[in-house]
This record gives sequence, structure tokens and C-alpha cells, in this order.
Amino acid sequence: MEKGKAVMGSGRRWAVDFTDNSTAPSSRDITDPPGFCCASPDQDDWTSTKQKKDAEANWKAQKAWEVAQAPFKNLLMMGFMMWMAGNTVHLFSIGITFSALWQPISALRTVGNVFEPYKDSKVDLLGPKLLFIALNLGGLALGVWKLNTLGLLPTHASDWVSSLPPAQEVEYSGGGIPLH
Amino acid sequence: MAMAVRVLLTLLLLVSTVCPSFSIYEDQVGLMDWHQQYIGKVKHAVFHTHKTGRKRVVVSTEENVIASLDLRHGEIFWRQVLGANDTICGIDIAMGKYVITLSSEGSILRAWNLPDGQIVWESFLQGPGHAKPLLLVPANLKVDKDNVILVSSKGSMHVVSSVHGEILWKKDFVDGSFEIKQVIQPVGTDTLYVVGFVGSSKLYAYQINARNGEILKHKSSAFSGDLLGEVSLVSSDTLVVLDSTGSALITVSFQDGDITFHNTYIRDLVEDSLGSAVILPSKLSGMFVVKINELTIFIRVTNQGKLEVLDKINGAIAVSDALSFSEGQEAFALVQHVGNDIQLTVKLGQDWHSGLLKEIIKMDHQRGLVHKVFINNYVRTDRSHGFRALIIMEDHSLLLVQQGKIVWCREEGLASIIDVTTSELPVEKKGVSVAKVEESLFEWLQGHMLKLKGTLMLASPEDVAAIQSMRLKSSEKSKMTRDHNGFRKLIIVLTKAGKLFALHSGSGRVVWSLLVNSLRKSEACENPTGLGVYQWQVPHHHAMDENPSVLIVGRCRPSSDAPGVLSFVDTYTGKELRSLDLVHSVAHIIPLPLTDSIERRLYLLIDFSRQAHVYPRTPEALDIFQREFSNIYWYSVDPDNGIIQGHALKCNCRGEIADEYCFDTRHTWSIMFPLESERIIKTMPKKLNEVVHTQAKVTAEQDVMYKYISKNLLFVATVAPKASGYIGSATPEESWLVVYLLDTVTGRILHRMSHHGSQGPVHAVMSENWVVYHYFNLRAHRYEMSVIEIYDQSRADNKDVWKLVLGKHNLSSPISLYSRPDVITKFQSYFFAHSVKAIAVTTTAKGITSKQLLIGTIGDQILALDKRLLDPRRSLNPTQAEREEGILPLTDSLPINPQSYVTHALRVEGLQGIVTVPAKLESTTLVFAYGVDLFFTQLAPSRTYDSLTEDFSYALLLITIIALVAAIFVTWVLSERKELMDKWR
Repeated sequence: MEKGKAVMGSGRRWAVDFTDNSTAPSSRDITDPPGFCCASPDQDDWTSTKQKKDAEANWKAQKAWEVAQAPFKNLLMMGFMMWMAGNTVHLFSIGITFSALWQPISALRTVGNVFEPYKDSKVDLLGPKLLFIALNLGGLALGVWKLNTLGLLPTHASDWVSSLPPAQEVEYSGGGIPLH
Repeated sequence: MAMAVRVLLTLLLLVSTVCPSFSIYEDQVGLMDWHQQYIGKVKHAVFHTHKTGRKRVVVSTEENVIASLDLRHGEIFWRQVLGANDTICGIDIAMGKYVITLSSEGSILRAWNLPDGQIVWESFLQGPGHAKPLLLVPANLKVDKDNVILVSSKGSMHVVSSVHGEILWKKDFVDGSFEIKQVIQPVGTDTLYVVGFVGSSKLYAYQINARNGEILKHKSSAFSGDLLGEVSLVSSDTLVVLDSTGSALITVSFQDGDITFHNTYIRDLVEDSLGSAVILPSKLSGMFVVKINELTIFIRVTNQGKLEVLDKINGAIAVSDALSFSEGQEAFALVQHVGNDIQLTVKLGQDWHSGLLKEIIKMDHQRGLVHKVFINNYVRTDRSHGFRALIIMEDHSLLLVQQGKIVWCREEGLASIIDVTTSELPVEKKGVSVAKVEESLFEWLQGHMLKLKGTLMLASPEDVAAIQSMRLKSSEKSKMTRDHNGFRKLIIVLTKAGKLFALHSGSGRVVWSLLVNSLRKSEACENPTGLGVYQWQVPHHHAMDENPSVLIVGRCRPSSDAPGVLSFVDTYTGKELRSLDLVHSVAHIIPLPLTDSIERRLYLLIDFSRQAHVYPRTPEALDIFQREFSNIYWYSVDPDNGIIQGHALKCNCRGEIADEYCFDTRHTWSIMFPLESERIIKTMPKKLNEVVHTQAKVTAEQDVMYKYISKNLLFVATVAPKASGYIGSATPEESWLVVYLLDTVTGRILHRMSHHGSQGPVHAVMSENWVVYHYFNLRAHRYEMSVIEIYDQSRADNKDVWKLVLGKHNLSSPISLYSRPDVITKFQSYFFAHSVKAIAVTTTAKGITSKQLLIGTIGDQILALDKRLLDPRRSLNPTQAEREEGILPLTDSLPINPQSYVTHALRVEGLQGIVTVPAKLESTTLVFAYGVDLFFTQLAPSRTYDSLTEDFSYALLLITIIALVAAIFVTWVLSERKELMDKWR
């Protein structure tokens, strides 16, 4: 998965550009051999490169949107898992809840890295990034909601009171029936 | 890797849920608990040492126990515990197979089978008057071929068949004031002589035909002066009586039907006789024993009725009854003190100067004075006569002495415990630890083989027993040092005899014992009684170099105005540090929540003139006390007059002698119950040392209720005067039970509730914010238990989360009881099948663990009842949320699960009290129950959630971990290899 992503993401690993752009006909000292016309293939090549670059940018943008939407599937999956886990606190539900919390957080921490391959001057990554962040935040919210339904969030007065030590009494009294 | 961790976690979870059972398995009996059987101070002993069968001695005790003891080892063959009111007044063996007991002031006669202690028959005897009951089992008196038993009780004479307990004849002496003193049955005749007094000077003698009760002769004679009650029979026709001044001895002979008196002044016999004399009860032929102060005088009665002093012995002494051993020879034993040891002398009855036996017996422990002695003879291999003696000492211990040695000894003082406290054991220091017992490799292997057999269920019963004993031996529970979990403690008990015992909680053995000197009879203190034992110094900060000590409080006489005595005892060494004879009396002992710089607790002793005395009497303690002076109160309950009063401290005492440790008190409030409608039968304060973890109770809806956890709460139960008798003495209409919850500082009644048609006896227990009490419901003809929970409404508005988060609340600030309380109570009642002897509640170190009620049932067992069963919020159909909270559906009666008996198959005979002590481990509480028997166990009301159970398999855990590590390693290698293969592809 990791490897495949890398290949697809960059499009190419490396490229050698054989075109020599510096050899414009006007600046050439050496005249072209008779019958040689460099202009037309050059022009042709340039247009094809441009086309290719456009395609790549398009493809990158498309991919970026796809990546940005990926958490949505995750979200649905998580929701299903949470529903399956139930509302009682046990190992399974706690595991799911914490993974539901952890995944968005780790994803949010690596937003830059996720969209790194699609970085392009022509590609506007703000939209996908925002969507990605929003979806992850949604996932986080889901996790927090789940945590709350499990009763693990200190949102009630009882959560704060239980740890308080009992109040000291000022007065002290003892006695009873006289010893006999 | 993640998978492996998950598997491990799941496994751990499984392991931790495997041990859910609250009750214990059969082979766990004796691991945590111990049980000791006692009988109490022996009153009377009868030997049964025929040539065939086991040699035994049958005893009756002051704890109303009849027991048959093995003469060889002192073990109990069988034991029967009679009720608390069924005092045994006579015991004997009839026909060599029945043990006959006379009890309840001579109104119940029972026969028990000698070999196994089963009851054979029981007879009820009735009579018109009151007199000291007498039991006589003549060896060969037969009426219609039946061996008979002669009983004189309640002013009449009964002759009972010893085979089936039928009353053969009964003779009521018409004059109700006739008090039978002696019944004499001359050997070989069919006549009985019944001698007694009417009033204090008239002597009556009847001669009765033993076959039918016909009066053959009747004589009476009046003495010119007054006579004292005690009578000593010196021969079959001579009695010795003291006159009422205690200065003259009167010899009464009723030979040939004539009664003659012969007066002898004691001063004629003994020159330096000061003080009044007492005739000691003895059955010696031809002589009797008189005690004048410390002097014991043996006096012989000659044939002419003349008295002749045989010997005078100074100091404590015990004399046995005469024992006839061969051809009409009689012997008796005499035990006296020689330094720290005792001397046993056996003399022939006829000849004072002949000593059959004279032995000095070394006493290994301090046992005080000798109280009683019983002798028995045996025939040695050379056909000479040997004697063994059963000696009862001042500390109630029972010794069997034979051939100058103590054969066995029973610490019977432990059967009558007054008070219990606990003390920590010493901290383990380097070099002090107990050396482990070396065991050979073979034994080690054998032990493991046995254990393996046990786990594979192949073990035979003997193997199981071997495994059990191995477990007991190997456990660390009987070490003499403090343990990490706080399971090992010293249980300090004060007994009725004034002896202090320290028992090890691991095995129940006596670590040390001390006969407290200030609780022994002395000239200043003629009849001292112990009141209680309290923790005096509990060092935590200086645990390494200070020893803890306990305070023993006693009183010189049973009367309330008697001066008190204090004694301080080091609990590590068992030595008395010092003792104080107080000038004031002791009515209340109030431990204060204050300690001084060496962690001594401050005590306030209130005397009967309502003056308070501060202890320890040091300036530092006084200074600490003065700082809290205005906040210390006390209350007194007067059940006879139906008054509860509150008091506060006022100023220093205004007496002749200035005493800065003494304070006058002033009366602050009083509650008077109308005596014609309410009578106080039970008060129950809260335990002062109880730890409460939280003041909030969280309900299912995440709502908070604030518990009213004031320590100054008193539960009072009153009943209608008519219903204060036994159950059934009043109709439901005229009986009611009213319960109150009082604040003992202000005297405010926080809650009052009445149960119509109910009556006592009431047993109650109070903890945290609840009280549980047990009473009888006359309408339902059943026992009931009720619970009251009390909540503080004045703090109920502390519900804003943000205020709580920011700490803007007053929940932890000190509260005064003078602020206006606003409480609500919740209550519920349930039927309960058992009648109850005692109720206690489990206590834990931090108060987090849920509570269990420990109910001492009438069958002398202890039942653990979950507090959840007594929750006033129980309803018929609890909601899902309530169910999750742990609220059980309401039932009309409390279920009794046979598995929740803490004492499992054992009985704590004569159960009197249950004491719970927290261990250091939060989940665990230590339970000590005492009565005639002692029982100790550990309880975990919410199971041992904070430690692994003893049967946890560490080997399995280790194997699992090793297997998992191996699996991780293997899978790692495999995955590496696979990855490499993938890369090459």
C-alpha cells in the first residue's frame, strides 16, 4: 500500500529532459543543416509537455480531493464500529473509542505530509486540506461523543465532587450510656 | 506486535475474571481464617477414669458450657453450650454413662450421653421456694431397681430416675421459708437426711425414706443467736455453721434425732484472729476450712464436737474435695504458692500430717493465684497410688498436673473477652527476619508432585490434607513482622479475669499474655473489673524506634462510683509500662481526635460527678486540648429515666486540690422521653475511627446526593414500656418501636420514625450516612431489618460543573453543627429470617470498597450481607440506569445465601461481638468474632480487586509471557524474510 501510493502519488520518480531550450534559432551561432527545421518538432514537444503537465496537475488535484475525502469512509466505518461496541465500558468499546480519538489526531498532525506529493504551483490544496481537516475533526468529535456516551467525560458535577475529601467537622462529641 | 499485546490483554482480563466466587472452596478453609474453641472458667469437674475407654474429665464452666476433655491432651471430646440464663449449678456422672447437669437455679435437670455428649433426657423441676440447688448422685441408692438422682431445689426434694429422667417422688416442704442446706445419704441405707434453716436461727432436720419420700422423723431446734448461711458438712451427722457475727463456730450434731449445738469462739482457737471468718465450701471428712482474711485454718471436729486446729496457712490456697481411693481411704489436695511456683500436696483425710504427695510445679507463665483444684487418682504400674490434679488459676486457665509437671494447659480466659483492640506488628528490620526452614530437594520435589496431582484432580484425601498443611506451613502469614498488605496484626484482648492477651492474626496463637496487676485483687482494690482496652500510642512517624502501647481502663468495684485504674502496656513486649490509680470514677471514656507529638492519643475520662479529666497528664497534651476546648462536647444516656443529655466543657475544676487536668462541665441540652410511652432500649453511636472516602453519592442519572456524614450522630431506639419484655409479651396494638437520629452536639432530632406493632430487642449498626437496625414485627410475626439513609440537602445546590472545576464551592470547608441542617432521609424495611446476636459492618482503610453487614445469627454463625440489599432506593422495577448503578429489584425479604456465611461450617459458640479492622490493602477487612470461641478471617466485600488472589497461577502467567515473546520473535523473523522475498520478486 505504501509503495503503491508512492508510485502513484508522484507520477514519476525521476525524468531527464532531453530538450534543449537554450537552442533558440535566433541565438544560434551555427546554422542548421540544410533541410533541418527544428522549430516544428520543438513546438510540438512543448505543447505536449504542457498538455502533460496540465494532466498531471489535474490528476494531482483530483488525487488530493480523493485523499481529502478518505477520512469520510473512515468516519462511517468508525461509526459502525462504535454502534457495534455498545454503550457499556469494557475493553472493546474503550479500544474503539480511543482509536477513534487517536486516528484523527494523528491524521491532523500529519496534514502537511499527506498532501506533500500533491504540492504543485498549479494545484490549489487549500480546499482538500480544509475538507481533510474538517472530516478529521468530525471523526474526533465522534470519538469525543462516544467517550461522553460511555460516561468517561467529566461533564457532571458528580465527576468533580467524588474526589473531594469530606468536610471536617468543627465540633466533636463522645459519650453514651455510662459504663457499668 | 499490536496483535500480541491485544492477546495478552485479553488473557489478563480473562485471568482477572476467573476468580469471582465470594465464598471459599473447601480446601481454602483455614488458609485465611482460624477458629479456636474454649469452654470458660471451670466451676466443677468430674473425672471419669475407668480402666476401659478414654480417660476424660467432664467440666461445667461459668460460661455455661459442659465439656468432656481428654485427660491426655486437654482436647475437647464434646461440648454443649447452654443459654446465657441457664447457669449450671451442679454436675455429676450417673451410672458411669450419663453426665447429669442441674441448671437454671435448679429447675432443669438434664442427662447427656458421656461418650458423645448427646442429650438423653431433660426434666423440669418445680418447687415453692428459693434455695441454693443441690445435686447428689448416690452411687448405689436404688428405687425400684432404678439408680436415682437426688435434687433439692426451690425448697423441695426431688428424686429422679437416672435412666429416663422421670421424677419418682417429690417432697415439698410445706413451710416455704425452709431453706435446704444439706442432703445427706448415709452409704448403704435407704434413708435421707435433709437439713435446713427456717429464718436465720431455726434448724430443721428431716429423716426421709428414700424409696417413697415418706418423712420418718422430723426434728427442729432453735439456736439462741443468728446463723450465717454457709454450712460445712464434716460427717454424716455433724455440721459446722458460722454465727452471724462471724466470730463463733457452731457445731451442730443431729445424732439419733436430737439436735445439739456446740459453740466455739474463733478467738479461742486462733489467738490473733482479726476480722470476720468465712467457711470455705469443702467436702472433707472430719474437718472443715475457715478463712480469716489471708489466713486459712484447717479445723478438725472431734467425736465430742470439740474443735481442734490442725494447721494455719497464710496466703492463697485451694483445697479439693475428698477423694476416696482405696478401702475407705480418703485423700484431698491442697495447692499453695511457693514463690512463683505452686506446691501441690495430697494428704490423707484421716491424718493431717501424712503427706501422700508433695510436688513443686514450675509455672512457665504468670497465671496469678490458684482458685480451685480437683483431684483424681490412678494406679501406677507398681500398684501404688498416683494423683493428678486439675488446677484452675486466677486467669481462668486450666492446668492438668501429674508427676510434678504441667501435662497440658488451656487458656480458658479467652472464653470471656471484655474488649478487643488491635496493634501493628514491628517493622521488619535487617537481620531480624525469621530464618526460613531449609527443606531437602526430595521434599521439594515431593511437594511439587503433590501440587501437580492436586491440579490434575488425582489427589487422594490424604494428599489433599498434605497439600493443605504444606500451604499453611509455607504461607508467610504467621511471621512476627509487619507485612505490606497489613494482614498481620496483633489482636489485643482483655478478658474478664483481668488478663491481656496478644493474639497473632495469622494463626491465632498467643504471642504474649499479661495478668494486669492493677486489675488484680488488692487491699486498695478489692474487686476490680476491666472496662476496656484502647489504643494509647500508635507510632507512624517513629515506627522504627517507638513501640505502640494500649491503655487498659478498669474500676475497683462493680459499682459506678468506684475509683478507676489505668494501665499502659507495650504491645510488642507485653510489659506493663506503668499504672495509675485514679482518684475519680470512670463513667465515660472518650477518645479525642487529637494526638500529641509522640502520637499518643488524648483521652477524656468523665467521672460520675460529671467532671472531665484529660489524659495523658502532660502540659503538652493539655495545651493541645485547650486549643480545641470549646469544640469538645459529650453526652450521656440514662436509659432508666429516659433522658439523653448533652454537655460542654466549662472551666477548671473547683475543688480543694487544684487540678489543671480536670474540667467542670455544663449541661447544654436534654431530651426527655415520656417514660409512660417510650423506653430507651438501644443507642448506637458512629464509630469514631471510621474513614469515609467521599461525601457524594452519585445516582444513576449522574445526579449527586450529599451524604450527611457527621460523626456526631446517635441512633436511639425506644419501645413502649409494655413491649420491653420478651417477644410476645405485648399485643401488636400496645407495642411500638420509635427510632431517632440525634445530633449529639446540639441535641437536634434529625429524624424520627415509628414502627407500630414492633418491638425489641433492637440491634443496630451505623456507618457513613446510614443506619441498619433489626427488630421484631409482631404483626407479621417476623424479624425485620430497616435501613435509614440520611442526606444533606443544604449542600445539594453545589451542582454547577464550572464552579466545581474552578474550586468555587464550600464542600471541603469545615462545617459546624450549629449551622442549620437541612436533611432528607430515605428508608426501607425488609423481612429477615434470622434473629440476631450482633451486627457489625466491614471497614476498610480508605472507605472506597463497598460495605457488607456482618450479622451474628442466633446459631452463632456470621452471615455477610451486602449493603446493596439494604438500599432504600430499591424499587420493584428499577430502570436500566438504576440497574447499571447496582440497585437490586425490591424483594420483601432479604435473601440468605448459604455461601455467604463467613464462618462456613464453624460456629462461634456464645457469640458476643464482631470486630472489623481495616487491612492496609483497601479491598480487605479483617474480621474477629469472639464469644466462648474465637474466629478470625479476612474478607474482601468487593473481592480482591487490588491484588491477585492466593491461587493465582504465576507459572501460567510466566509461561504465557514467554510464549508470547517467542511468538513475537518468530513472527518478526518470518515477516522480515517475507519482506525480503517480496523485494526480490
